[in-house]
Amino acid sequence: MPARAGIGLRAAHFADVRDSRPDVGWFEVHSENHFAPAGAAHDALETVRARYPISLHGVGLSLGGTDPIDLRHIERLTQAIDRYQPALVSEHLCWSMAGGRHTNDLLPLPCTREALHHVIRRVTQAQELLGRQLLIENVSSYVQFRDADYTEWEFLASLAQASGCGILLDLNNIYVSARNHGFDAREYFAALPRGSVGEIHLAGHSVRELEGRELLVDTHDARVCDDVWTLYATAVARFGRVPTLIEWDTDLPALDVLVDEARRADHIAGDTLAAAA
Amino acid sequence: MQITSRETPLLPLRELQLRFVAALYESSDAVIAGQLADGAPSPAARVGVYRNNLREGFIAALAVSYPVVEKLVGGEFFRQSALDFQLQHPSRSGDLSDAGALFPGYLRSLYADGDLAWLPDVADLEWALECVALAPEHPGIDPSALAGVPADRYEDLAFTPAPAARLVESRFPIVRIWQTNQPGAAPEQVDLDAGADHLLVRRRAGELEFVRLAPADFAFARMLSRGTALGLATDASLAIDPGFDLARALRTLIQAGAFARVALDD
Repeated sequence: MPARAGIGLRAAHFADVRDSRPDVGWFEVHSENHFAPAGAAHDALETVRARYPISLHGVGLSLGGTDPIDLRHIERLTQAIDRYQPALVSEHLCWSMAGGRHTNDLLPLPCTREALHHVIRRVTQAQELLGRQLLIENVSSYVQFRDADYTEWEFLASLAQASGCGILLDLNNIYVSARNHGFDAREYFAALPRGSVGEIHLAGHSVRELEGRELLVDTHDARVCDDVWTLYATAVARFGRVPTLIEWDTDLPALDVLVDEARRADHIAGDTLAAAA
Repeated sequence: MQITSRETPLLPLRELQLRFVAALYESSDAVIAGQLADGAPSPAARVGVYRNNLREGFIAALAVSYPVVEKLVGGEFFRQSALDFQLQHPSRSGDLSDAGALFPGYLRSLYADGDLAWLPDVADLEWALECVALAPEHPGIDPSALAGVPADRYEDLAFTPAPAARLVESRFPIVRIWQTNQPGAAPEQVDLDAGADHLLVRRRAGELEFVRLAPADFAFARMLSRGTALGLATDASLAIDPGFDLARALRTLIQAGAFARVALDD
């Protein structure tokens, strides 16, 4: 996977990507959108993967969940991996399902000893079943559970060390959670070993007003904000240049806007490393 | 006495997750009281963001699978139907596009009789179209594959349905209803008594197609698709329609690409 910026491949852009062949380093898709072995999404990904490296990014495995791991989901993911040969495969540090009811959302774990041991076992199990390393992404959160034994960054660093997974560092998620829970985003970076980050995500978010207070919500419906661009330069200075994704899922703009954001990420990464040299 | 958060320890992970999901699905904050860190906005308001995601995400996914149902009943009716359906049939899969599989049956449980009796059948058609759109195409079986079968073994032949083919029937003209509600189609007053549809929905060379079948041929195809051997399916079809023509029906279905495989069922 080239250490430059890529963009998400979404259905509304299939034809444009095929015809315009944008100058981006790679494409990422949601794994679940490509579980079917045929159809428009399959055809589009076949075309794209012939020209670009790709990454499969899962949103539904519920790795932090306490229901048994969904072996049917693992099987479908395995088939997608076999079919599309992605350079990277990622999942989230979250849970989504309990008692058989799936929320299809990325719910935060309590940062407790029990939860850490559980998710280490589950990530290890998933990596064994899939026969490969996963990148695990930090999520945005709107609530925190009481009685945490660790900070989120300690939790993630311990998970990576114990399970051997890589880290997909989502800077917008760090920013959203930092604002929602009142921590300093830069503390996050300091806790993670330099070689542990295999991919970075950048995205936009929304600000909602609840009970007269602001809450940031991870909506992936806007350009990357200035504060997150600043975090990106800081992250590149610490972790080096890694594959970086521009994520946009709702209110999709023209493909050019995503390509423009990707170009900006490449410039910032290049300038940061040039300044450090 | 007021129970403060300090006096209730954090629940074990399993119990915490079960209660959190209940708080989202059943809209009850009480089940997770004391489990969340305090702050402003309040924990209850913050949980509301997840509850909203759960509902809106589900409605949106169902609308992707059922655009014609949504158009026919209107946005508000569809939203409420989706939420009621979600409570009875929560998503069980990490792929939210699976969630609509039981929606036609759910609509049937409510509207089998009455003014909306056609609605579950339109939903059947939309789900069949979605399944067919995402299934691999298959060339179908070669009629010559049957040539080598001894005549006395014909009754033991078993057929496997083609992946990109589905059988759908309705006593209403659901194809007309579906077609006139496609984006850009001219609106049309559909006569609900205009006749029944017996369909094989399939994809060929990337195109979705409806193949209309005679009622007896449809019943025959459905039995074969469910694994009934040819002999039994033929007897049953003759009982339905004494004029049932086995050779013609089989030729029609094979040419329509209904089957992926035929084998002797021992």
